[in-house]
Amino acid sequence: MRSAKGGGVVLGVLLILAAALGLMSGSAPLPPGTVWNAVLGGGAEPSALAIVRSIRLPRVVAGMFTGAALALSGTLFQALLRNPLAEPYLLGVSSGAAFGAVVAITWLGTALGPGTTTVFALIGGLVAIGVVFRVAWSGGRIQPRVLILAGVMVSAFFGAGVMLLLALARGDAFRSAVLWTMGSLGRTGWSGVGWLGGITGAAALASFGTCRDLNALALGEEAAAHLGTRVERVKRIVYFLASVTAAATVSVAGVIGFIGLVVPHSVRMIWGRDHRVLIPLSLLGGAAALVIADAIAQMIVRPLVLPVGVVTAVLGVPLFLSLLRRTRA
Amino acid sequence: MPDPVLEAFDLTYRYPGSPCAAVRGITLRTLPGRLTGIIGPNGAGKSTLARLFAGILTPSSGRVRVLGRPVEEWSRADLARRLAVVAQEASRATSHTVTDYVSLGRNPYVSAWAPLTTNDRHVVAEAIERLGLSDLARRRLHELSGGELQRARLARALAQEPEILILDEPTAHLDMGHALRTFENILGLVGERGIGALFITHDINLASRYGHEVTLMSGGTATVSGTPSEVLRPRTLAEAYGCAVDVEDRGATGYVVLPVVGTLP
Repeated sequence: MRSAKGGGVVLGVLLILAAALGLMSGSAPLPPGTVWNAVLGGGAEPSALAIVRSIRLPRVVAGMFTGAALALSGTLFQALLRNPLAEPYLLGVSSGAAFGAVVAITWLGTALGPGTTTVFALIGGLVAIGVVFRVAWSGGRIQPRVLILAGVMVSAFFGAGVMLLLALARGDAFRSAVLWTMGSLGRTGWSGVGWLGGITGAAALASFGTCRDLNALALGEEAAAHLGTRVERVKRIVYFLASVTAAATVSVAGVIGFIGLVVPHSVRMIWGRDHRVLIPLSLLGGAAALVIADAIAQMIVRPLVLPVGVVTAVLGVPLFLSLLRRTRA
Repeated sequence: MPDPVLEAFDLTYRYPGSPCAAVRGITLRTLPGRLTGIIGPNGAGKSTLARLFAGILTPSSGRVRVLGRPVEEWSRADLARRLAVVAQEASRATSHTVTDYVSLGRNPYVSAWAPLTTNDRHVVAEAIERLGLSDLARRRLHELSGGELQRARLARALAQEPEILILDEPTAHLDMGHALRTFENILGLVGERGIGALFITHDINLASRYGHEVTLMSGGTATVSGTPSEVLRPRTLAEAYGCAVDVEDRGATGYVVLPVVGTLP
């Protein structure tokens, strides 16, 4: 087990390097000096200034917040459910959001304004979560097993709805709907970044307050209660935080897989399972991982931008499998 | 006589949806520095009773008092500073080190984010030392033997600095040597720190040797309570367990209780 402070330094430096990489890469690569000047606002040519400030910087910051939020959400779900397969989309938030987005794209276009798809995605995601919690809530308790099964069912239901709408959609709407479900950090401006950052920051701070309770929950719910944890209260708070952060990322960036599953596991394998370390390092690691993946997605087949979810899976899976093989934790 | 640390008055509990009560009309007390044993057949309501005492279940009627105060009036954290439970839970947290696991016993004393204080770390180290686990402090729980794991559970409970200890099957899965050592450890802790302990066990021989008082539960009720010599009567045991029972009084070394083979109806 490595030291937590060392982990913070390693992942912090990685995040800074990732941000630099993200700002330099894109359809027109920029040298480090130009990026540096553009960020600081002095001595860069106007076109570079515009590219960095209004396109790349919001994209990189969106990547940081989305990656951090997904990793946080995954960490919290894994802690509550004591299930290694738990990840941010477990409760159907991705399918619900995809359904909402596809409804907006195929039926409404931008009839209700430019943010229509985002709002419908958010509503879809929240409806899915709401249904799942309603089913799993019984006698003042959240039943984890019911929660997982209900999540799978609700996902399947909305997944079928998405397929139905796509089968009926016209060609151009079909293409933009499919692209939406692949996830991208490029479609949000500073407004989306602002509200995602606000939610992620608030959820991270609130989750710090439950660190020791989450540690105790590793022993099971009753054992945690014996150690002073108000189990049902903590579960309600943490499920809420994990679900809302997941829903916020999906509404802003679409569905981006593997970050929420792989990052918390990797951090746990390297730096241990104390949530006082695990949560902050997962936030940093998720932010760095997604920004790197997005930079790579823009570099491989220039000027085409690959769906970032493809990169997170193609790079994340082999990395994770090798870590799994080495630690066997 | 000192005030009891744990008391139950006419305690009854019925699980939701169940036609009959799992625990009926139990009145019981545990004194500081004493060991109270609960024995009885499977399904007698022993573990339900433990969960009522720990405030996990709310009684259908009757009440539980912890240090003179109704259990439901304690906050979970305040309760965890006074009452520790040793059950079979740690089998799940396999990758914790012994130190991490015992440190969880300080949870009710520290805030979510703050590191453990010097005093907290001292209490943890002392608990590990007291249970003879110092050499294993950095081992992971899944690397421990059954006996070592049970000592780790006791050390975690001790780190809570409790006045009351509830032990649910403390010797399950232990061989007789380790079972004996576990009870010696419990007896030692109870004597040193004036803890009042309540243990549930299927091992009637050890219950009779280490319990200052023993209660035999059957069908949710306390069939008989008292000193081991008052409880360990062949006829009483036979009625509770549904088989003929031989009881031999060995004086200072306790009782030998054996089922009689070939007597099942």
